[in-house]
Amino acid sequence: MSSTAASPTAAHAHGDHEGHHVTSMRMLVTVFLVLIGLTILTVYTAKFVDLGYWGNFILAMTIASSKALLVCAFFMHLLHDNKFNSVILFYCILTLGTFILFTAIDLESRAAIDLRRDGSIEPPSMVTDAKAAYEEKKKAEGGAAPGGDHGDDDQ
Amino acid sequence: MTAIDAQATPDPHGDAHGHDDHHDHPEHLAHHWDNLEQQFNANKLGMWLFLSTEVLLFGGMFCAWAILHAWYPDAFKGASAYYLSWEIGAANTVVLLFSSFTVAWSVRNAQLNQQGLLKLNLLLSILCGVFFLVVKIGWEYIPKIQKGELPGGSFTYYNGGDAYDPIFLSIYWVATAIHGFHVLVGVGVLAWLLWRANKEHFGPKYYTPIEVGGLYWHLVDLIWIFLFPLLYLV
Repeated sequence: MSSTAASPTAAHAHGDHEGHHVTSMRMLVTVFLVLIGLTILTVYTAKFVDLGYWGNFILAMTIASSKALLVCAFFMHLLHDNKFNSVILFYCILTLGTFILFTAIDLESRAAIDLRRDGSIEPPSMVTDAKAAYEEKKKAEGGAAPGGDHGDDDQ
Repeated sequence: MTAIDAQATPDPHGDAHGHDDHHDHPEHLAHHWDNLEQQFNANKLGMWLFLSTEVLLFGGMFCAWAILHAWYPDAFKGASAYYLSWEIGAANTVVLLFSSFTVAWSVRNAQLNQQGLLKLNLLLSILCGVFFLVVKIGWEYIPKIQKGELPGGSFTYYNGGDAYDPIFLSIYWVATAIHGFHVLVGVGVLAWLLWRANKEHFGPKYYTPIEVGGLYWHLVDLIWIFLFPLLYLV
């Protein structure tokens, strides 16, 4: 890619990057349409396909990762770029994964303070205050729920 | 190779670095680079390093999402369905994907010296970014502020849902607001690129700012590709 001319006064001695890979229109449009398709797929599977709680999550993340891969490889040119840029991205993802993994390991191994399992620690006061105000309002209106109870929503 | 070349021939600039004649090297070549190719690759590398820091910035928020979602899955599911409109999120996703497409196309335009298309694509990308921000602020943020669906301690809109709804809203507000700020900065960067493109600064020999600014915009799109399913489709 870079020029190897000996004399700096030659026309291309300082290197021009006309040799860079130019993405074809067909590739750009195809990648864009695939991205749209994957977006439709992720909305559809979230709304109408039930693979259980974690199943849906893993599927959504797989689709999102595929979209990200397409954007990185083609729109950001990583496929036709200096490989070192891909190495940077790879180790960045690895670092992020380490960050989340170690945080999760730490938090999951703490038995002392755990709002879920213990139940003896109340939610923050602003929530209980808002809840109390809601209950008051509900009583004042004779039992009719003002906003509707969305806690039972079946998705 | 080029270092030996530089030593083999006398430096036409002399010892002092002030020089008035630019005819012996390309206009956009900075002095500390041997050639345009090296400069271009180094600029791109630098941008990728910056993008890594941005990924880790948002990574903190994704980590918070992961932990809190694992702890309060019902609150997340209920709150997402109740407070957020997936249609708005999907529309914004499509718009950002289209803007990524036009930005990638604009790089191609610069490479092929298609000046008119270059300006058009940059303009379209800017409009997409503005659309995203207008929808987000006008259709999501302002109604939420009016109803009191605010993060954490400011939450005043209890409506019969899970007691931990404010936690989801905290994640939602922080993640989308910081992302929205990045979109705003990205629109500014694209506007600067458009301004320069209007002056015909870019062409096949020099399009580094388009490439590098485009990478930033693609990152903004990438973040949203993950935020959309995690917040709107949970």
